[in-house]
Amino acid sequence: MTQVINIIAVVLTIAVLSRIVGANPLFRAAQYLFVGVSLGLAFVIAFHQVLMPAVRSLSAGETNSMLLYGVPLLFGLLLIPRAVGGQEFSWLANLPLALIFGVGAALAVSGAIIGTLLPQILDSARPLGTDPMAIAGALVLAIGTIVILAGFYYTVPPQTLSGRVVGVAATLGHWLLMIAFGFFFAGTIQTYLSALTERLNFVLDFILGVAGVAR
Amino acid sequence: MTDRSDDKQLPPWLRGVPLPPRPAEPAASTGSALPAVPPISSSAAENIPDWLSNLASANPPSEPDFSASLPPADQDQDLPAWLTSLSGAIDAAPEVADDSVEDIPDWLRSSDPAPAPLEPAAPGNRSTLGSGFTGWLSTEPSLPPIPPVPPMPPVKETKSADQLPSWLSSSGSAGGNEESSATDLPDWLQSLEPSSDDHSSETISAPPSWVNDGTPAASGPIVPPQETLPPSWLQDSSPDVPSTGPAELPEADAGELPSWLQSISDDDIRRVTESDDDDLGVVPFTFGNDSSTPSASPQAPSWLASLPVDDQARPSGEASEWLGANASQLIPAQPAPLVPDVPDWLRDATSDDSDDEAPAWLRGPESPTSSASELTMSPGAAADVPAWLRDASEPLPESAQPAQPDDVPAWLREGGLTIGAQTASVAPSDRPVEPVSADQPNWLNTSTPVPPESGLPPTPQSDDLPDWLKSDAPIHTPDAALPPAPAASDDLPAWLRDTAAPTVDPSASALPPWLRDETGQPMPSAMAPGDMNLPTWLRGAETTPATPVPALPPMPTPQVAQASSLDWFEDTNKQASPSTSSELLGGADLPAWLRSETERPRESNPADARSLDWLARLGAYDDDTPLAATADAAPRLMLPVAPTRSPAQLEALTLLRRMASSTAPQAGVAAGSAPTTPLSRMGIERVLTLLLLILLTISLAVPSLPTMLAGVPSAAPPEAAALLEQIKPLGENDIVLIGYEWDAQRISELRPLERAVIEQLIEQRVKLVLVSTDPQSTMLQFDLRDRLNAANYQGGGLDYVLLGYRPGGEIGLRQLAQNLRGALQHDFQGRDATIGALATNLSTSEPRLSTLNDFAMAIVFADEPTDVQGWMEQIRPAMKKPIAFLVPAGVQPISQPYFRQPGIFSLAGMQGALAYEQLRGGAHSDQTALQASQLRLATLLFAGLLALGLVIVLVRTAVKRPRSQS
Repeated sequence: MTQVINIIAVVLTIAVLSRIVGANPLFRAAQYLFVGVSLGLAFVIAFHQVLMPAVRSLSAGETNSMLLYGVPLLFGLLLIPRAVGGQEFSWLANLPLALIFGVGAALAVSGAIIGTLLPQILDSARPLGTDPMAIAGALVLAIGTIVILAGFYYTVPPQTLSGRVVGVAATLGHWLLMIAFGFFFAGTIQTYLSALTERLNFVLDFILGVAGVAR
Repeated sequence: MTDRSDDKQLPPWLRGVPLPPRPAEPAASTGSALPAVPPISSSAAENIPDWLSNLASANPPSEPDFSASLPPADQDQDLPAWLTSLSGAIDAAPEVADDSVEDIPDWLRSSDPAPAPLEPAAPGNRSTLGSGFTGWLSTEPSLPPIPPVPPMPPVKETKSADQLPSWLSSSGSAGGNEESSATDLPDWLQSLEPSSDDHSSETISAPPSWVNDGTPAASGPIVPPQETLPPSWLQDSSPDVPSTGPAELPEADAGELPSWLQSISDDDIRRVTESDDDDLGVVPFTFGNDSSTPSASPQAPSWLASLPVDDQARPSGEASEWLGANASQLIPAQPAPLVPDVPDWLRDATSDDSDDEAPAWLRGPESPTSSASELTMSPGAAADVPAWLRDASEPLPESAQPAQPDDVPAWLREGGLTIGAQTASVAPSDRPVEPVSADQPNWLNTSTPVPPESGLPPTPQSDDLPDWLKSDAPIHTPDAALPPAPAASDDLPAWLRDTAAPTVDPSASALPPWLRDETGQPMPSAMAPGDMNLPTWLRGAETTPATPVPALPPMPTPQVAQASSLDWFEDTNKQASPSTSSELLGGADLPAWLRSETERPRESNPADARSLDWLARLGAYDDDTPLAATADAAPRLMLPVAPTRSPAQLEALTLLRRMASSTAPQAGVAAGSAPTTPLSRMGIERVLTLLLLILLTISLAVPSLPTMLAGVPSAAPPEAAALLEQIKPLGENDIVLIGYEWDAQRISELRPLERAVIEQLIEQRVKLVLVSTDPQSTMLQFDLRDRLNAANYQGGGLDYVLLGYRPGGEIGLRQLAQNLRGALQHDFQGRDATIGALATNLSTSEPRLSTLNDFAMAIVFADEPTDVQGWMEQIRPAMKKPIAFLVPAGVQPISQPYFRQPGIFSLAGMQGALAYEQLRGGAHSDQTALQASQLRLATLLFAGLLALGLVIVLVRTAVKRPRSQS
């Protein structure tokens, strides 16, 4: 069974790698199969992890379950009119959608302020300390932050003195952004090279295994 | 004018009715300035119908000798047909002749001068008494002497007289109204016949209710014909009880009485009738208390009692005094004191002229000199006049009034016809002459001898019209083209012909006929327009036909007579068009309630019509007005002005059109040179990618190549050591929250990290709580469960809890942070994890996991920066314990700000896993080192191929540039 699964995995891996020579049906088949399997997996997970426990609790008549799952289930049913053809009752879906977006926005704002903005602001304004490298790093960080923000400052006329200063800072900020993006890209390349290496090792191991060649 | 002081006995609607002027009195008696009516000559007397002559013969010697001038009774040619036949029927009925007294109606008998019960009349008088007379015509002279001011007539003696107007009942007391009179009566009177022979002496032929209403009558019993039965409504309402006591009332009669009458006890009736209370305004109804002798004094109304003694002493069957006065002027006028029960308009007649017993509109010839100016009504009287009579008092133009045949008897309907015809004659219209009904008395038909209009054929007369009534009622018309009116009927008495001759006052011709007397002069009730006593809606009415009636808006036809009284004001246009006989009947100057249904204007609610007045004022639009005219008048919407295009826009438009019309250039054709080499056809990118794949595959296939690169020492990342320091002290009593937020596509990096960290935790028997917000990560958790089971980790909340998938992303994380206990109640299989040893201290039964801070630390496998952000934003504020993020190499630079925070640890990529494995000294360190060397080789190949590609591109560019310049 594992061998069959490995064969399928090898075929699909080769199908995906066939994209190197251009778009081909094998690649598309592997692509569509991957999307379908991902959605199917998500449905199975949601069904078994969300719906079934809720229905089971409701059927058991638990008091807490009525609020814990009844209300979400009701809101979930209200989404059905939006999916069906008739739009007479589509407005009912606005209730759960409004709840989702509202609560999500509130959570995002509060979480962004507490978990992202304040920590990054604090990290950008960390004390210099006594280490010269740390001091240099803090300065680079502060200056890099300023010049990068200056790159998004478009409302100053470039003919004026302040405009020229902002223009120079924006140029420097753009370069810093490119360096940062280079780092980001390098990390992404390393990630994808790791995936490629892993897939090639898998294929080689399978082929060599089938061939009986030990590595 | 009339004296209105004593009109309490009248119904309210009659109190204010003015009386027409009295007929001309004999000059000798009154001495008025009016020209005396010439006495009827012998030749004229010959023309008197027989029924008038018979009256004369029936008079006792004490009567004035005007009856002597009447023609003999055998002159049947003057007798109307309906009278002739009646007389013949009477002669052929001996039993009726024998019981002539009993056949006399009660209301006639009561006014008989004899105080005792009626004696049998002479047979010779049977055919003459009352034949052709209505009661008031036949019995008026026979009234017995009455006190000057009699009180209210005793109720007990007014049995049947209650049903009759006073002027009818009093005049009908002659007892001469026998069956012949009943048969000669008009149709509407013939219907009032007794029900059966048994009750022949008890039933009467009462006039219709519209005649009886409000008119107290005191008359003797009327002997109706025995052949016919009165209508039921008359049987019920006519107390035709002979002069016997109530005890003698037959049961059959009682049975026929309505219940409300039967319920009246005799005692009550007797008490009421015997009382002398003069305040009785209404004559009580009674049946049987007629045992007393019907004396004339109490039975006859007081206004009749005021007649002269000699008048009252005249026998029954004698012509009325006004007839006598007109005929022979033998009856001297004798003022009589007013009686309270006499209507004013009758009271005037009796007070001013005892000779004028009949209403003015029924009177005989009148002096032509009477004009409308002389006939004015007192304001008080005008106020008492009902609305429909106020209308009558207003001199009106020639507006037509349709009649309502249902409400008016036939003969009066035809009277209205004549009136309408007369009115039509005033107006210059082509209205055809309508037939005269036979039910109309002759004196009504001939009272207005107007010639018919020219060009209109004479309409046939009704068949039921008596011969003496069939005389054409010529309609006077000012149209000169009209042929002369046919001669009046020979049946018309001479005294009527002479008096019908006077010309009509032109000013009075505008009045409706029923507002004029027989001579065409306006009645005293005809008031001048603009009288302040008139209602406002009548003040502006025009009286002269020459003045055109302004076009009024279509007034509604009220359903009540009072409201519709104005309709005949508006029918000017109708008279201008020829109409049929029915239209003439309806279009006459009759009040609305007399109009025919066909003449009635469009029915509408008065309130609606009032609300639509503004529509009527908009103009006289006919219904047939084409709507197209209105549609043409409707404003049209102007087309919007086309925007003007600027030259720039026009140029851009031209360019756009040219580009759209031109074909697209072929790709490659413009390049000029097709790729000739395979490298050029495939593209440098694909060649380099394929080269990278081949080299990498070869490098992987040759184990020595990566090993060569594995010997290169690399600096261990500091994060791995820090994380190792955090995980290393954990033991089996510690619970670590493991977050799986990564997908299978990152398996090449995260799997080594997972393996390095999770194996250390398993080795240290650290309790695990696994949770995920990503479906694929949930599947990867299941893979971890196999390893945990292999490491003898017990599930079910003992060594680990697999919570599985938590929907909602950040919401799920927030729920986990706020209610960890609730999240532990359902694992991925729905089991409650709180009861396990992991979440609850079984020895103390205290929860081991209540908040996130109860965990030793949290390790998150995240493949996206958003996952790190979510955990940092939702979990980190609630969890002060260390959090380690194991991320791919590409996420670390982005999430570096979070990783720099205190308590946050991170380990990224293959290098981090390798470093952690080497630091930890795990079993998979060699494998991890090999993978790291392979990755390093791949990176070098990638960099080399990238440089190669860059060189190739630069070379190609350097080569192409000189060619293009040259």
